[in-house]
Amino acid sequence: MSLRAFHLLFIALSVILTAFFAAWAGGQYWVFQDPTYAVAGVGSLAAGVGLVIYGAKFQRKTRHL
Amino acid sequence: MNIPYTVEIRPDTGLANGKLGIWLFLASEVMLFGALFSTYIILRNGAAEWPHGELSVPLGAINTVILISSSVTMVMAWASLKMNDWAKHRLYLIATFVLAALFLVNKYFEYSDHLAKGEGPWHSTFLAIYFTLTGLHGLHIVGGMIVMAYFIGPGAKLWRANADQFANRIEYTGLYWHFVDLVWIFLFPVLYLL
Repeated sequence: MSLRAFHLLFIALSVILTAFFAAWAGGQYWVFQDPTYAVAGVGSLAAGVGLVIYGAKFQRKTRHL
Repeated sequence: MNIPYTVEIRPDTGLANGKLGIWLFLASEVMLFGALFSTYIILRNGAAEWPHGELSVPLGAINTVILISSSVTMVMAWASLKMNDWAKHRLYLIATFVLAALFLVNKYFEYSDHLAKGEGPWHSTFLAIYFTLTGLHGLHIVGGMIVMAYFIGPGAKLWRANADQFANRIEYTGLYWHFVDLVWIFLFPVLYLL
């Protein structure tokens, strides 16, 4: 496996982690009603979307490498 | 002396020797961390009670962001070489090194906070496996930094002598670095969140 392919796999797993973290933060907010958790969850979801966009762009731009 | 298959593909394996070597090494690393993760699962399942909220989630999350960013800079360091952009390669490799150092600084604060409260590995089963897993992972970060420092410093000379071989070496460093980052992607939820 090339570094390019491994990087794409890593980004995909990172996206799963951001979704998991967002779910965890949502659960904590549900229990403790602390807005910090809500902010963390939304931030994590945003990071996940950012990673998806980055991954698609990386795949397109490095196809020839 | 000319070492064969440093750049060209070896017909019987379909890979350059360096790439086969790094994947064999990473396979052994999977077994090492796999054994420790298995130990964690067995200890946790066997425990009557398991502590929650002992670790700083914000520090762990910041370190996750740092390592994901470092994987991006590492792959960019390699891609820049493939595009013959030496200046960008240097910039990205140094950025990766700095991010790795930042990770360790965060880890230092986390460790010292626990140790100041007397919460060393001897304190509980959870902290014993926490220090073992994150300590071993931290040593791998240090190992990666040593390799990067070599390629930022004296190892950079190879670029002029054999650009393809140098690019391959950076790719192997990147594969190792991604593996180290991947271990953290599993460590963070397992130790900090669950």
